[in-house]
Amino acid sequence: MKNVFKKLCMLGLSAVMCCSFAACGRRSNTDKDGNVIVQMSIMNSTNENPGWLALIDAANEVLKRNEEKVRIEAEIIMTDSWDQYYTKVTSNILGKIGGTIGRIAESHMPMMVSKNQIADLTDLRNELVATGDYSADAFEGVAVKDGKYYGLPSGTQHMVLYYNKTVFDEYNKAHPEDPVSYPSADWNNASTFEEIRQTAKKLTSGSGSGKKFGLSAGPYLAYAGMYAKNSGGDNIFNAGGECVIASKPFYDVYEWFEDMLITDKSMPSTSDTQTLDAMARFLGGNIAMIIDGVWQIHDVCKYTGDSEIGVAAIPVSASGNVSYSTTFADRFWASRNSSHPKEDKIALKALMSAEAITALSSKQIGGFPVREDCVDNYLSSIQSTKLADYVDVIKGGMEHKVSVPYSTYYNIVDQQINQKMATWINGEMTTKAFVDFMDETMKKGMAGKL
Amino acid sequence: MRKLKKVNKRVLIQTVIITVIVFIAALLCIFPFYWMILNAVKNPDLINQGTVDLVTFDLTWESLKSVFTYNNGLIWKAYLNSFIIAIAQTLGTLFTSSLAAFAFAKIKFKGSKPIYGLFIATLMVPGQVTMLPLFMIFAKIGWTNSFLPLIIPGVMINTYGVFMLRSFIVSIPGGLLEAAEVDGCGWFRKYLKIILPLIKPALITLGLFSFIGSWNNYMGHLIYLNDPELTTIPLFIAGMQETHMTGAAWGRIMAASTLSIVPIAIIYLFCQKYFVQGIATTGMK
Amino acid sequence: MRKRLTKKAKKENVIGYLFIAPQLIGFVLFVAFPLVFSLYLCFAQWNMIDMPEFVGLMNFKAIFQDRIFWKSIANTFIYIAIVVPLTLFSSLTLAILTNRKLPLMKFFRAAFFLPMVTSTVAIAMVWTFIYQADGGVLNSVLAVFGITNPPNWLQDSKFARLAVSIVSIWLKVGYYYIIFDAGLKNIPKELYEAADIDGASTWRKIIKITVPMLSSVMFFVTVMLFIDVFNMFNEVFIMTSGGPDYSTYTLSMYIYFYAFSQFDMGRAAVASWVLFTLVAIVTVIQFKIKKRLVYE
Repeated sequence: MKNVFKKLCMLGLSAVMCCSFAACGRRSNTDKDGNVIVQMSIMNSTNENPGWLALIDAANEVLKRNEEKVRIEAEIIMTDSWDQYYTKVTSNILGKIGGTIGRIAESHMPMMVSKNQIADLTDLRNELVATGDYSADAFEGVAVKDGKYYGLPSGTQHMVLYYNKTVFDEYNKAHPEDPVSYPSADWNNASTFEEIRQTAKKLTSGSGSGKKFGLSAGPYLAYAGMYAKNSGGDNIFNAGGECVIASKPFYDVYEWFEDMLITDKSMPSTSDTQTLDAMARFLGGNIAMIIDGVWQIHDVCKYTGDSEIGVAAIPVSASGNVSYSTTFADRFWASRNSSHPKEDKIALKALMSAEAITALSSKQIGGFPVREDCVDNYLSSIQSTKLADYVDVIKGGMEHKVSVPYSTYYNIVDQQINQKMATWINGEMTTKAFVDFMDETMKKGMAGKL
Repeated sequence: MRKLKKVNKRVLIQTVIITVIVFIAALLCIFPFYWMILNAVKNPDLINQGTVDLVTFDLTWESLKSVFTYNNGLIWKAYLNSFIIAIAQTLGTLFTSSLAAFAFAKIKFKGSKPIYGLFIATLMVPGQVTMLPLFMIFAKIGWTNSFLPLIIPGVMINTYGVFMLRSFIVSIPGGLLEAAEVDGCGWFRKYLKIILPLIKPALITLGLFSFIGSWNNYMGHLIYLNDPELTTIPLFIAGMQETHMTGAAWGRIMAASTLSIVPIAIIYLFCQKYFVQGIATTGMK
Repeated sequence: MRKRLTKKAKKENVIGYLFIAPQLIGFVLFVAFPLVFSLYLCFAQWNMIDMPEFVGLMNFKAIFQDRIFWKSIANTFIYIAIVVPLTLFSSLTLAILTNRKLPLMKFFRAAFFLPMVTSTVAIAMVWTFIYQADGGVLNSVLAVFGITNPPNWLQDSKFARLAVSIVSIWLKVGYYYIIFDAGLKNIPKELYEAADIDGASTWRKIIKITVPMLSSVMFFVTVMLFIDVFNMFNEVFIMTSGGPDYSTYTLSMYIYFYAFSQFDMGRAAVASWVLFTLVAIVTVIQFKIKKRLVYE
């Protein structure tokens, strides 16, 4: 009997241990002043964290001023991929722990909506739009389903062409007989693919890890629509909603990529950027031009040292074509499984306030603000950086935006195309076959056959 | 006499050839470790350069230092968390599986054979099959983002442990237990006083396996742990991969990998004997 | 007397169940119930917030027309074809070679065991670094041997599978080396002495004595290796994420992707049951073969 008792004691002890462990995992919902704590999930990024934390601080100030019994706390999710972030956030939503609000890439929004993970924010959206301060356009798109709004835009990002002026100047000094000129900054008269290709070819030199490349750009699906539009085509789908990847504009674009990736080798492939990624190489002066998003402004200003950096429009197939820029509008969401849905909405409203958005955009994070009265602040914050001369170019991109047609099947289509890309770059499949594969995969995705 | 010499010469040559072959194999086994440590201590700028030198003397503590300062010394938390999980799971599993192994081996109770059969059959079930529903259950009861899903299942079910310990306990002569019974020992006392001391080597082996398994469990940690406060060593290392990979970032990853192996390497050095014994016996059964 | 016995037997019953209780409860909660539940999920669609919805065979239909699913199964078998024989061969060879007095024996053994006690995450990172096309040590060494156009290991669909397999073998050799080593030590010395008297060559001794005497161990090793390869995940996930062109994708990756990236639990459940079935079939076949082949 004594033994059984002893054992029961031990079992009891371990049970207590379990409970204490369980308690560790949970945080209390209210702070000492009786405010409800709403946790907000943000993805960890050394460069962007200050911006997002400033946003939360400013939103908390607003909440305090409005005497709301709500405070926002950041929950930084330790990952740098949206896929993993989505995994973590979903498990938080299901387990009713961690962040009940958060920010997610536009690409993952349709999935969150279709899996019924996030709350309907239509009334909040209507309230915000009714004030007339927000661009109503920014609320449309991926976060809308059956007339209901499930996400609020956190800002709009778009693509530009960064170039290292110092590299250009040095080349011109060494080769006065055959100079290169800076890419055009005019979105209505952008440099052509051919011009950029020739420039890139000239600026390519060396070999191995020390090789200098002319241009880095991603032939990824997300940007395919932009390049195709710049060659006079459609953004993946035509007006009738049909997938038109297997068409001349796309073939042209991917041949342009082939010319640089495979023929000229003036563009780094994935294997060239294994040790040192493309942006790091650009920042280090090893790549002369790079097509990337405005979310890189912060890094470009901070890490390019003495190099002078310029910003230009995305190239087009023939001069005269209008240049377009892919835009992304990441969203704020609120969990559908939250124990304090009302407070979540109050927190989101504070995050959308002018003060909060100003705090974020003065760190050049989060892209173009969705409140019109904050745009100037964003642009003037760029004025104080080394890209000051290019504010108009950056602004110009927003006037020629093309959004990515994200959908529930988009991610898997994108994954399958990315997987195939290596075989194309290795020369195991022709460019035409690769574009046809993209087309076919997209059509399969639309039909739900992936 | 001459013939013997000839044979000796042949054996000598054979030994030399075999030693060389085995030496090369050993080098292949060690090389990645050498490379990891070298890159952890060499000047990170060298990693950016095109040429690769097998030996460098341009050494610095920079990468190792940067691991400790990474994210405000997150590595200490990772170490601590990994230890808590691994030790809790190891101690728990040793207790429950030795109890069960003892019962299956020495106590006659109804249904012992079929239940044991069921246990053994689960050795075949791949972890991925139960991983999914377990995740949902743990999410439903709010255990995600805590150590519980990483400790409790490991403690509560360890068929391999039961199987291994049982085979040890079966070979303990019944006379010992009978003598103890004459002295008036209950079953739990017999377990504590007789069985546990006798199967110590087996327990150490199982403990080692369990500890290392938990220390290296990446997928489980990946699925269940979100909070940076709860990060563990595998997550810490994997999380160091950055969007902008530079030489410094690689140096830091190599340094972190080196540091992550240190505890296991120390344990392994001290317990090599048990380790080898444990694995060797699994093959014999 | 008889009464006391039954009383004792009764007590033993209770004690027995008490002793196995933690493991038995664990078995029910963490193995039996999840198994049944995942079987149910095969026929359901569930967002994990609302109630699961019964969808019949839809998940099966979706998975069987998925090119990637078939590719991951094919890959798993290719991995088996590479990893199982090579691991078996190299660990057995090393065990036979070291089954004699050699200098530096302690160092050799420590070297062989080292890979298996290290964290797969850490070491997969190191291998990724070693395999880099430019600036990777492997290709630099190959260049010294005059191979000017070395493969781009992890980015080329022809080589990635091999590259991952090499890491996998490297991780496993130590473990099976120990098992073979112990097996060799169990072979009675007299057998070899008798063969020496007959004047048998070393090779002949290995074929006629060592291999047959080790057949039971070899069988065990093969079963373990098959199961190991079926469950391959960490090294692939870290080194290639299944790419390029899904050439290194495994069934485990497929399950992980649908379960924890797409949260399509029905499809992941079907895939995990396919994995379970494959493991079961392979194990049963191997036991059938064992009855015929293994020398006991």
